[in-house]
Amino acid sequence: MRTKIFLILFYFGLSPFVFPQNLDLGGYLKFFAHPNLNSPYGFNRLGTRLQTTFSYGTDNAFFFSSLDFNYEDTSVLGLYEEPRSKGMTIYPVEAYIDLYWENFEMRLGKQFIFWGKTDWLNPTDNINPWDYKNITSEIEDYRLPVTAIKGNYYLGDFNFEGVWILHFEPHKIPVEIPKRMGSLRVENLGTVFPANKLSNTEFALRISSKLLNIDYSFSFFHGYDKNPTFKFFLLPFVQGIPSYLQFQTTYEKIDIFGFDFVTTKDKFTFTGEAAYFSTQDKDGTDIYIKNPNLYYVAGVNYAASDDLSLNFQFSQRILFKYDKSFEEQQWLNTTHQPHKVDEKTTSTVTGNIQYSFGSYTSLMLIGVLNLKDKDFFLLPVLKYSFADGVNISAGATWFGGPEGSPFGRAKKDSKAFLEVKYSFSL
Amino acid sequence: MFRFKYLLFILFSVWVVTLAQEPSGKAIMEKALNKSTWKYMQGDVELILINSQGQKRVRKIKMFSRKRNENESDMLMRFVAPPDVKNIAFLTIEHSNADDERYLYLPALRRVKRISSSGKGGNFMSSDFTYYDIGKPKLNDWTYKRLEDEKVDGFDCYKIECLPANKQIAEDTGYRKIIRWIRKDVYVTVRSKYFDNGLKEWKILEVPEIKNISGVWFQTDMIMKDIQSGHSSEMRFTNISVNKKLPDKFFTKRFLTRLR
Repeated sequence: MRTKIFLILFYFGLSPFVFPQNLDLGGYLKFFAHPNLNSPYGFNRLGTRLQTTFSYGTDNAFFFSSLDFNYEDTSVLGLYEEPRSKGMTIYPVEAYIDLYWENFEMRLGKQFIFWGKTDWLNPTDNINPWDYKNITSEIEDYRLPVTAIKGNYYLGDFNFEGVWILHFEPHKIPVEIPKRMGSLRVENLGTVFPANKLSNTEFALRISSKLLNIDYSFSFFHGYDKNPTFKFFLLPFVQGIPSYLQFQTTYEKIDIFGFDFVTTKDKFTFTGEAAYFSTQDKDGTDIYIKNPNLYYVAGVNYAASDDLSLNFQFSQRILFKYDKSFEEQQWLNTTHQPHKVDEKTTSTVTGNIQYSFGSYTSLMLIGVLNLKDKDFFLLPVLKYSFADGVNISAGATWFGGPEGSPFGRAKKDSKAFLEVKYSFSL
Repeated sequence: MFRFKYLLFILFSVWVVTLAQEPSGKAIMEKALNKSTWKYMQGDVELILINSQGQKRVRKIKMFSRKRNENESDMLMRFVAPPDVKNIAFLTIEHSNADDERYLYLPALRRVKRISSSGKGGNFMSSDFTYYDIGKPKLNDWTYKRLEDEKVDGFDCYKIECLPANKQIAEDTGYRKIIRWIRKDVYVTVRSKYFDNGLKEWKILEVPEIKNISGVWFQTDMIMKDIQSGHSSEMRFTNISVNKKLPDKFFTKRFLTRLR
């Protein structure tokens, strides 16, 4: 709370004196309504947001901050049946300072750092967590900023980048904790987050450059998997029969080695991205922690005309040291319940169509399909520019597929959205 | 008889000399293309988009450009207004023997995206100007035929018919024919008519204002009307500064993301 108060004071009070030149004020006012499609709640979210952005800059330094004043009449985010916010919330989205030298730059503060060159699925993009409960047309709604120090050193065509993330932030994922598993009662032990200490801070490195007509980069991330690991403990045995299960959520350390590229030829853009996830389950014997795996995405974009672009991507995740029957048996031994375990290889295709009709209207349709279970995610967004600075977006996040499949499990989270946004600059 | 032959010879000589002094279509275009001597240029652009119902949208852009050599240049543009597109930035690195590199910075996504160069015929910032229209044409991409001179807004102009030198140029630009009116005194195009692949009249460029800035003539106001769709776009240039050196790093992805 004290940090928030300080940030707000800094935001309104001190910053103009620190950076007196080139003050820039702006932001937007947005009304949003997110009616649920498969849930007993009428609205997932309903409210109004005022975002104000302040920036000041000189040749050697730049300050930027955006502050959200969010009034929500309805919000059922977070875990199921757990209201996350209702009423007024005020929070800084981003607040950072840039410092510039001849070949070196630094950014300090709360910020977004997105890596990768493919669309929508980015194996090398592991710094900012996702808010999977709040996917809309606005990236700052579904990506969460991190407090970090970022440095870039430029040498010819090379860009050496280092990021130090001071505080771990996990993904926000809708999780329904079962009260029973078969005949067993489930006791939730809660979530264990990494302790706030220096040795637990995360860092990432990246080298980017250009060869012929190809932009490429190599990257490395050391930190925690932002996806939770769910662990079950069978306790205690009474006359050889387990009486209940204990359930705990943890976050495990991970190292990620990545590579990506992009090149163009005529109306085509070719992209590729791959990352090796070195997890804590190095020998594949821990059924709760994900096995080491390779995740890659290859895509092609075709700019058919100024009004129409088409994108297609294929992605695959391959688990190493993985034995499906061993995993199934171990789950059965632990929980006394059959459990649907991962496949050794999972393949996904994504498509993205963007079409502009007339001068002010555009349609975007993103689709993701898992090939094995045929479960899918659809995100259609229709945008209309009503006037300069006034935009209306309508769309839906639609999850579907068999029960137990990744997107099938998220059916409840399907929702529509309507947003009216007025951007301003003072 | 001798006198008559002599007179005929003199008249023929005068006609040949006169003809030799009249520049050809290609020579006029060459002079028009090579007259400008700027290496660096920066300025403010107001781009006004007008749809067939007459509704107007105004985009304000800061533009920076440099010529690396005769056939290659770099251009960086950053939107200043309206607020919903503010800070969107666009970088083009031109290559004479390979595809141009194009990068788009979308502040809403906090990402620099490399995009394909959808041909020179692609529309510039959703306007009726194409990238070809605002770039410098290559002399040998077209063949030229001089038509009868005409006046535009009281100024004597050369009238040149330009036909694509090959099919590829026609496909890339979308133009099967261009007729240009070039002012005789300053060698600046002040009107153009563009014809589509069916040789139907497509667009008309009018240049209501040209200015001499630091010895270089610029078209500081250009109106492109799409006759077929009823759209039109106007580009107004102000605060033009010529040959004020910009550092190399300015035309890189690094600077594309800088909000200042």
